[in-house]
Amino acid sequence: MTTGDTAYRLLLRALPADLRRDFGDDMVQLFRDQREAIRGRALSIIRLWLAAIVDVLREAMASRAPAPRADALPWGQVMRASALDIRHGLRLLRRDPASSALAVATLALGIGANTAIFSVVDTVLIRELPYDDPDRIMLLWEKRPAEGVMTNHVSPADYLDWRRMQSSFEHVAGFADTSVSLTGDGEPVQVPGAVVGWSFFDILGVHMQHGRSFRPDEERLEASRHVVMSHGLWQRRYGGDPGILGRELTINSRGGWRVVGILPRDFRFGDTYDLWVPLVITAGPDGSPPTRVIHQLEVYARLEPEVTYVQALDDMDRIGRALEAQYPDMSRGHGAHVQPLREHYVSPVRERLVILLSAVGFVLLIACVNTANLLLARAAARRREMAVRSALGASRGRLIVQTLSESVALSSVGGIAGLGVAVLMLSALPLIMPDRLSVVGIEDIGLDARVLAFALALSIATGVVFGLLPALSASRPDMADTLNAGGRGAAGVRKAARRTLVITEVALASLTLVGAGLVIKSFSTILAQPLGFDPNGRLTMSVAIPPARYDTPQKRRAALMEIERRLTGIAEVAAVGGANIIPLSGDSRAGVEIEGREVAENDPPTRMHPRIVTTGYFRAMGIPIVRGRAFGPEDRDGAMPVVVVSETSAQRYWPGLDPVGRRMRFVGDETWRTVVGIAGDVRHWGRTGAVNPMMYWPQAQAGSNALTFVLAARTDAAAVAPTVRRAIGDFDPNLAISTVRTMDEMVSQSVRAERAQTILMGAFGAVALLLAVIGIYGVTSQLVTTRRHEIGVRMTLGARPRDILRQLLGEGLWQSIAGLAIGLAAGIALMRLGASMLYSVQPWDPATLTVVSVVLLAATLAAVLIPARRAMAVDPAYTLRSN
Amino acid sequence: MVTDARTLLPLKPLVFDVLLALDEGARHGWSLVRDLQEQSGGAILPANFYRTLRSMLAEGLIEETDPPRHEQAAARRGDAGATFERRRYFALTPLGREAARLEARRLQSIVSDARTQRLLKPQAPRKS
Repeated sequence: MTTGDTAYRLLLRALPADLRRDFGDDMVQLFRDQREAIRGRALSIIRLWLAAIVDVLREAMASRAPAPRADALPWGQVMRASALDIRHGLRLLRRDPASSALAVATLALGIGANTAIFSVVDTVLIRELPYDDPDRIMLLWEKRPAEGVMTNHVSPADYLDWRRMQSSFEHVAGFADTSVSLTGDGEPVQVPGAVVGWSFFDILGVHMQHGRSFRPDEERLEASRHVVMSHGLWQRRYGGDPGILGRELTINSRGGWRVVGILPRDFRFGDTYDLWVPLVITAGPDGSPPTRVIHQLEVYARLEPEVTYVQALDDMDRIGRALEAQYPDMSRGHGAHVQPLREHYVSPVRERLVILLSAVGFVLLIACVNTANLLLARAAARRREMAVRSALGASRGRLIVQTLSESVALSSVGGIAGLGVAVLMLSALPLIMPDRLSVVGIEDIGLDARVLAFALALSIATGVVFGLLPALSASRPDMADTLNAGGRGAAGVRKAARRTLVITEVALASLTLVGAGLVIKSFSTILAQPLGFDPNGRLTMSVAIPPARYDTPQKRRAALMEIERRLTGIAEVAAVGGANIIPLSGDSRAGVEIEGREVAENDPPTRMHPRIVTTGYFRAMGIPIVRGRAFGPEDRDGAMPVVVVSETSAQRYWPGLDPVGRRMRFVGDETWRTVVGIAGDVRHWGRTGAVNPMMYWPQAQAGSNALTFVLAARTDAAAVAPTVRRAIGDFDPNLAISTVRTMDEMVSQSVRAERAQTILMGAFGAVALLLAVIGIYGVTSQLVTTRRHEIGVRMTLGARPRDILRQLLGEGLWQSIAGLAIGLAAGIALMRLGASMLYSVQPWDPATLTVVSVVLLAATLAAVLIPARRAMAVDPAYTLRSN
Repeated sequence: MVTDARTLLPLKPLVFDVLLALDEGARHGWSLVRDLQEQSGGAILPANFYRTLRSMLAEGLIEETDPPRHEQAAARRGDAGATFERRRYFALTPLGREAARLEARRLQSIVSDARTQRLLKPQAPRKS
């Protein structure tokens, strides 16, 4: 029997025994089959479980309700009675304002947090992507199954071949992002841009707000100067001028780019791209075919109406094999893979969001348990009222409905307050969440009708869940007893219920705390990973030299050198260096050949990640040179070609040797380059990224047209930015400067998702602990109050206050331990599902589990201790007299 | 136990579906669910389904019966998958068949009502 079966069997205990005996096994089997049919789809499974819970509870009530009599109340009367009940419930809330306020606050926190997280889940996971018939949009990737890579970018040659050979898609269009300088009208700016195949917008099903999208012939170089503009840029820079269509822009210092279309305001596509231009793939300068080795394109496609995903997969597989056979040198082991667009966006965040949703769910359950306990206490106090009502002829069903109406009234007030909490949380989310959660952004998340409906349903469900136990208990008045005596009857039943409540609370709290603890530990592990460079006080900015105005490589190189010289002259700047790619931004990889190294047929290809850097780069970034030397002025153009390699490159490709003084070259390049130094390793993709084999070569010998400068500031890095902009503007006012950021910002941005989940899980853990402590305190206080009499008797018979304390603490302790054991086990199981949230921490991490256990036991004992001390002070004489 | 099928009308959709499915012969509960799920395309809620089945038994719309011959034979031979011992088979009672017939007639009269017919008439393409 699986855990799911066991859980469902437990749930079925709500049904009458005879129904369970007759059909229990069939129900379990049916539910198992239903679960298996949707195995692996976490959200569907949650939905099915929720449906099953509602189903069982509803049937439990229905099968226990007396059969409708001929003289049953007409519905109108029932509704009126319920309305009266709710009003009565609200009046009761006012009668005991302190505990009602606590209950409302608790529920508001639970419902509010759930509503906020649900609105994120709804936007990111549940809602359709904002395109036309989005399920038919696919991404085509290069796959290298032997290397475990399924979604590699595509080379231009493969893209053209796929487009020509495929028969499954209406359209196929490549996409690559780029940075575009816009000059001519107004201040020169560098804006994010994209180059796309002509049918790109048709694939997404996006219609231009003004104008048109691209045409097939605009993929030819001579006809390609056409631009589609984002709504944002149109408004910002051109004030929404409708005359923009047909206007000519200067892009990357080349004039004659005609604006043909304006995208709609609500168009979303990952990062915001301001300028879209046609993707032109040309032959090499010597007439050679387009490259099959450089992989830089994302390829989007829309399925033909009659074609299924599987057919498309087969089709692309066939094409991949054909190309592999045709170009064995370049395409061995390569194939083509098809991925639904939704999968691409949703799969990386699905687990995290489901775990977050579970965590807030547990917080809400604890809130329910707390409130249930409060209502149980009230039910006890109102036994007389119930008994009187029952004696006057109210049926049991009527009493249940009345008590449930009260709890729903309470939860609805909590729900309304919860909406306030949700609004607050949602307004705080952008501070911690990554900007892009999916194709949609954080700005798309808010309270809409669906989320409000969710909050409403949640409030009502909450009211029913926490009201059910007290309602059943209140509606079973042992009339005679209660009316006759002081009403301590049925205390045994309530004691068991309270014990269950405490164990449940501790279990839920420890479950949430395990999640929180593991995520916090994982985040601190991430923060402890060395980056290999020093981000503190570093400012970065990119400068591109337009080939249109600086027409030879010499002129462009000289311009960049002059800029670096001027930046070095700024007083607040301690060191300056530049690189074509700095950490945390883009990547490039190249095949290399090591002199004297034998390569066997089946060896993985020898690859390094090359970076073009200026002489000051290592010092400016704080990357240590562990052997040999960095680049100096002697490494000029025409001097001996030199490179610096990273430690990982040295160990991987010169194992047991000293690479300094040895030579290497790029595949396809004749020139041998001598290694002059070894630099420390750098985690290019941030703290959780891999350490790749790197290779640096000097800008003086490489000649990049664009560099990102890194400045180590003596003061605050951001404060230097205006001075630096001025210095570059003095050199050439028409140069566009882009992506001015501090390195700290970039590093912090790179762990934003992890930080967000840590803050949220930590907060939910803390709230869970707080609520559980409040709940346990409440339960124990009531226990002490109801057992006053018993304690008095025992003290009269010679029990010392210490014995009473020991007994109460002992009870608290074993209940906590029982809850803790359940919670820890469930927490470990849950976090095994959410392993993608954890970085080098196991779900059963002993240190975390120990801390959680100690914190929880200490907190629960503290919660028991205060009321227990009150019990010690019981005056036996007084207690006995009062009865 | 109900004696006059007319007092049971209108039938709940699930009850009517079960009666229709049993009209083809005795079935065990599990195979009923499978058919109903396939027909409706959605998941049948287990507690709701089996409680409905039980109240149909109580009302005398259906009754428990022996497994059909071929399944008994299969179980005797020990065929894989023939585990009918654990399963309870249900068949239509005369009352159940009468109730299904009356419900079908009731639905038919609704469908053949002139107003419904007007509703179902193919509409002229709307201009927009």
